[in-house]
Amino acid sequence: MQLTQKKERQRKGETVRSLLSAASASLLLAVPLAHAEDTHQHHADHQHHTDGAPEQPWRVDIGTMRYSEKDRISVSEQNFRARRQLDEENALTLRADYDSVSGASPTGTTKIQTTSGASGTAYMASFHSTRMAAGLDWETGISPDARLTLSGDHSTSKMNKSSGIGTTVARDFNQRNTTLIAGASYSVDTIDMDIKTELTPDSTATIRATSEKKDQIDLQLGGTQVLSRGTLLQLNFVHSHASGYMTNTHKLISVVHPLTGETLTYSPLTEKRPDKRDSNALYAQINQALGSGVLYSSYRYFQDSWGIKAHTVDFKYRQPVTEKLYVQPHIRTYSQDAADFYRSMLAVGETPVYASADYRLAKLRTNSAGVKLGYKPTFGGELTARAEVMRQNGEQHPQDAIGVQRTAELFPELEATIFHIGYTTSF
Amino acid sequence: MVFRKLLACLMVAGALSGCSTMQSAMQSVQPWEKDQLAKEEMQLVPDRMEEFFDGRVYFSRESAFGGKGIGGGGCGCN
Repeated sequence: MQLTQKKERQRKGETVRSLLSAASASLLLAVPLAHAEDTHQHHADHQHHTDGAPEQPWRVDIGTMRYSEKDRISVSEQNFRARRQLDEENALTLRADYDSVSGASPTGTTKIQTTSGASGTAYMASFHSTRMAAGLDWETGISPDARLTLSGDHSTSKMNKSSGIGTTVARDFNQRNTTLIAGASYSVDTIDMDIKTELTPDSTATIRATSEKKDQIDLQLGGTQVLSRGTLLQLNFVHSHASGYMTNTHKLISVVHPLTGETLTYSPLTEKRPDKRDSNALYAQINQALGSGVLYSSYRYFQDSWGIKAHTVDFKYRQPVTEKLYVQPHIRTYSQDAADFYRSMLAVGETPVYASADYRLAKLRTNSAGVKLGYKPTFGGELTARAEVMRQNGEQHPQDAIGVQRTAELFPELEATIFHIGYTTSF
Repeated sequence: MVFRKLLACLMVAGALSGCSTMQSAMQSVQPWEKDQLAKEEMQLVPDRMEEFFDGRVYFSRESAFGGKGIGGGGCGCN
């Protein structure tokens, strides 16, 4: 009996030592690199035994989202991610995603056709598509202070395929309070469908091609800085260069009478976008511990060679309610200018080089607000549930509207709800 | 309007908290002082599912994209 108790005490002592060493290893080793990474970050719960073997080598995230637009499309999406810490230097992450989209989407044409206000028939178009995607990340240490990540991705749907590779290098400095990150990625997208000649009447347009490609290169330079015991700053700059087919084959532009604005019998035109796009995004994020809560603030400035400038501001505040439950309200606002070639409509006889009436290239604003609950159940892991509402508004009466179209509401306002449930566990 | 006022208040609060912590930024935080930074909720991406789903929604409804990182696979769509 005494022998059993002695063994029990010894075992408890070993467990305490193991936990203490794991905690210090977590603090001294894992923390700076955790800040160095973005989508492939370490986590503080990746503790190690003193012999180097990971204590909880697996981390699994699963989630499902339902996105519903009022009178428009709905998206159902499932996401899975499993990360395996192979040893102290190496980790593999497998990612998989499936989504299904169905419903109606604005084509870009105007709502009304005549001065009497008769409605157009091509204002909305219904569609249905499913998409599957998978990705793999390999993280490895290349020196005591530097880490390399290699990634590969592939997605496929009935008409679209996309493949990409990427790499990032993160290097720690200044007692691991500073991390610099550099990265590059390359992707190729293929569209397999009948593609009509651009900027020609939709009703008579001929099929120009059945497949088109787009390449994109992204370059990233960024860093993180520990500002205090409870403040972390991230700055990131990403330059993207895309070339190839970027026209949306489903979008149209109304052709109207130059004085009355009536569409009469004019067929809408197919759209055309430039085949080059250079964009720059500057992103800043601050995580600030406030008591037991954390405030996440971020700002992004975006501009591209299509003439779009955009600002995004995002705030989340995570506040524990009990040891097992936290609540996280969220607000986000986004605004963008119109692309240079955005036209709400064209007058008969106009022959622009590029033109699109896709409202996503118009001047617009998006506001979102929501709340998330996180709960740690007794069986382990963490459950999350989130509800969010999103509204998108734009110019209802743009300056290029003609005749009767000035009286119409041209921007297709959007109201959407997002529900998301997730579960994360380590073992 | 209420939304914008709330947003403006939060931006001011965020800027003030950032300024106050900049003063202590010159002093390096020692490894044994990183207990708070080591917590899950202090990671840059504390919830990867939330990050992923948000990225999918906004990428398909707005013209701006990226900034947080690179790669991650496209959708082949325009």
